[in-house]
Amino acid sequence: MNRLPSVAVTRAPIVCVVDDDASVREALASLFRSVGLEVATFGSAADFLAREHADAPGCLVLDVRLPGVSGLDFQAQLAAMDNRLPIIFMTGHGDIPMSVRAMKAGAIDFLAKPFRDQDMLDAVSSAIERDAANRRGAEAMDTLRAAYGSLTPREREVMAHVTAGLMNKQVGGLLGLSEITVKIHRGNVMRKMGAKSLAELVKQAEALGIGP
Amino acid sequence: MSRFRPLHSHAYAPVARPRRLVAGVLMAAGTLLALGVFLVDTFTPLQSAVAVVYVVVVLLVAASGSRRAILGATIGCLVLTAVAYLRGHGWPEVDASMLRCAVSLGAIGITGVLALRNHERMLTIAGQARLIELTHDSIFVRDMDDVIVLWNGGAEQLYGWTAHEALGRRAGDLLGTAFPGERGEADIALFGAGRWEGEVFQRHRDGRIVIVEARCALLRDEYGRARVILEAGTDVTERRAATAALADSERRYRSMFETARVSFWEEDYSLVMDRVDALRAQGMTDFAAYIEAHPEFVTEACSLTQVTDVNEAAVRMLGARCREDLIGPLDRLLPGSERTFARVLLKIVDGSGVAEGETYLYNLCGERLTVLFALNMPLGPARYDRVLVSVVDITERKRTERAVIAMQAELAQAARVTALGEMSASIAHEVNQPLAAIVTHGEASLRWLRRPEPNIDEACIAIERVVRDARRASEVVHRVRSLASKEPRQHVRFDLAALVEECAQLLDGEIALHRIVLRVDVGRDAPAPRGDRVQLQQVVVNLMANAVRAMSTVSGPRHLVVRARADASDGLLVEVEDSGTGIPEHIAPHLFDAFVTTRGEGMGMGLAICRSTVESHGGRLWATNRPGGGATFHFTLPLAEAAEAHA
Repeated sequence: MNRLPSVAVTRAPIVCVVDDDASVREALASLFRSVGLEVATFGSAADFLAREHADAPGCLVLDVRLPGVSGLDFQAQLAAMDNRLPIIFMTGHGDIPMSVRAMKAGAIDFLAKPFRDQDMLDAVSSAIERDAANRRGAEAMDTLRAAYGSLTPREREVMAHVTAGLMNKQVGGLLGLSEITVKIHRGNVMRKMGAKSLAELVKQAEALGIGP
Repeated sequence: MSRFRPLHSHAYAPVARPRRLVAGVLMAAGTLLALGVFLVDTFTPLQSAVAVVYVVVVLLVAASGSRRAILGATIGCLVLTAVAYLRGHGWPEVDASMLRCAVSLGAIGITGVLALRNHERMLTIAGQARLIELTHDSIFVRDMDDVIVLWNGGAEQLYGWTAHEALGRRAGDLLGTAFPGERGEADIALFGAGRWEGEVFQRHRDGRIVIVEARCALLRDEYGRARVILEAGTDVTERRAATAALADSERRYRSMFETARVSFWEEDYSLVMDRVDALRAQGMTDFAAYIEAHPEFVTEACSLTQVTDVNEAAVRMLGARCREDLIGPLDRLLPGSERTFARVLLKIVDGSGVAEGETYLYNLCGERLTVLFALNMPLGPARYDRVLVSVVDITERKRTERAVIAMQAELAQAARVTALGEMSASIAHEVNQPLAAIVTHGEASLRWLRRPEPNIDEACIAIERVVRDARRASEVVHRVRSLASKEPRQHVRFDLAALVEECAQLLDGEIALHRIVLRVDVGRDAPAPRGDRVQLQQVVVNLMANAVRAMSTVSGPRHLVVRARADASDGLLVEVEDSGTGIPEHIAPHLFDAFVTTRGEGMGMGLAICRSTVESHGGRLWATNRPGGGATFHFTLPLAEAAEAHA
């Protein structure tokens, strides 16, 4: 999985502003700082990609018209890189087809310049919220994968059959094990995966995409 | 060879001899005979009427042909007879010798009188024969055996045979006369009525056939018996050939006229020319100026022009059932083409060459056709009744051309709109960026100030940036304005009349379509303006096109007038006047504003651009409504001279 490089340890949200106009960048930086948000500004998409980013929840405030690659293309580019940083678009001459396209591609909001500060702050706060949720989900998934990684091959087989709804005896029959051995394996699986019930284990198996 | 030789020299005296010599010999013989008779009568005792032999003397002298000689011979013979008697017999006494003398005198006298009468008759006949000789016509006489007995000089000329060769031969063998019709008919006429006239084919000596217009007469003697046939003839070979050539030419013309795929019309302009002649008689000299001043004359002339014949192609082209549908005044088919027709009229009146051009016709279904025409000037100076016009329908071609032009215009318009859109988007972006920054800076500064512990420094920085960005926005606006006004221009002196003419040609189709009468009143002596010709042409086209559109919905006469005159204060004043709907009151104050339009299409930029163009030339553009309906657009331009003086 392609993750943003995690160098810094800070968890405070960061707003990334990409606009070719320095005044706009400065104004947005001032606005976000005035409400206590951290801000990073970039003059172009290439700038943004070239720099390392802190592993913190955040969002991208992006001008549609950018030098070089356009905002919408940049959005597509990030999606292709599996970068799910939520995006808020700004435009000097927004039109409906463009905003529809941006929203369909997962943008949080599409604001016409000049926008109201509150609209921008609302959009940013909901974007950060979404990113935080994304990140929490991603972390849980990481933990789950690590737990699954600690299972022996036999335990993985047992987990697959058990979560498919088979009785211990049936699993034993299938794998050529005694019912007791299956029970021991199953106990180890539940412990290693941190599952408190079979239902939870089934959910985990689903999340991991495991089947017999 | 003389044609003045008397008839008998041909007919009765095969060998021509000087008449005088014959007369001399006869006179001499007569004199000798008279002398001999006198001697015998006087000195021999012959008891007989020897004096009667004097009759022979008189006849001999009479044959010499002189009236005086006949008279002299008669009197002489009478005297000699009387002398011989008196000398032989003394004073007369009634006896046998006196009786013989009286008989002799009587015979001589009667012979003399008869000879004189005969002489006179001969003179008459000779005169008539001379007349026959004098005529250019061929005259020959043949007897009932068809043998030629008379052959005049005209016949020699016509047939190539001399009299010597022709006389005594059979006419049929010599001439091989052939009748175009039945020979019997000619004979029936000749022997019945005694006359026949008609054309015959005869052979010349050199073998070629001549066509002869022959007049034959049958001459009968006092007993009613047919004696001779007199045949007079005129050579009509060349005349017939010319007639045949003419007929052939006419036939070929007809055949071309009828079968050509190009539509041909014959038109009669004689009524129009009568009117033109009448005008000339009233002192009109410059026809071009006249029709410019009297455009209604062109309309009238069109209605006076008659279509007299058309070919099959024309019938098809105009959707007629038969050619009779199209015969009649030309104006039924040519409404609204006054300008073209005026050009044609000028050519006809000048009598110069061929008039050709493009115009519009209406077919009988009411559809408008675009056609190319060429008009052949009449050959003779006064032949205006049969003017040949060829017409080619180019409607389809024109439609395609127009579609292409329209497409190009649309493309150009689209390109302009796109360019304008891109430019305005670019300007909007340029202005919007600082505006967005200003708003955000302002709001941020408020937030800095409204914090529980206001951050004055941050607020100040933000407000400073507000000021900076506002300046920047204002600079952008300034830059755009200076960009718009810095178009490079080419100011030249130009011919306004030619420019208006070009505009009229550009709008020719629409003017004809809406049946608008266009009058261009730009004198050739109008002062020449100076400016960007292309831009000013756009102004004129724009104003004229607006006028045409304004009239497209009105009923009644549609007049478009473009006039120009020198204006005391403003240089040159140009006016474009229409009889359309006029300018609505609610539009008038905003007429020249951008984005104001009364039409669905268009951006409403036309008049705004026109005004800025005229103003950039140092002129003014304004509009007024005419009291009778319609609008007039006026604009002024500085004159070339004045501009050059300033420069």
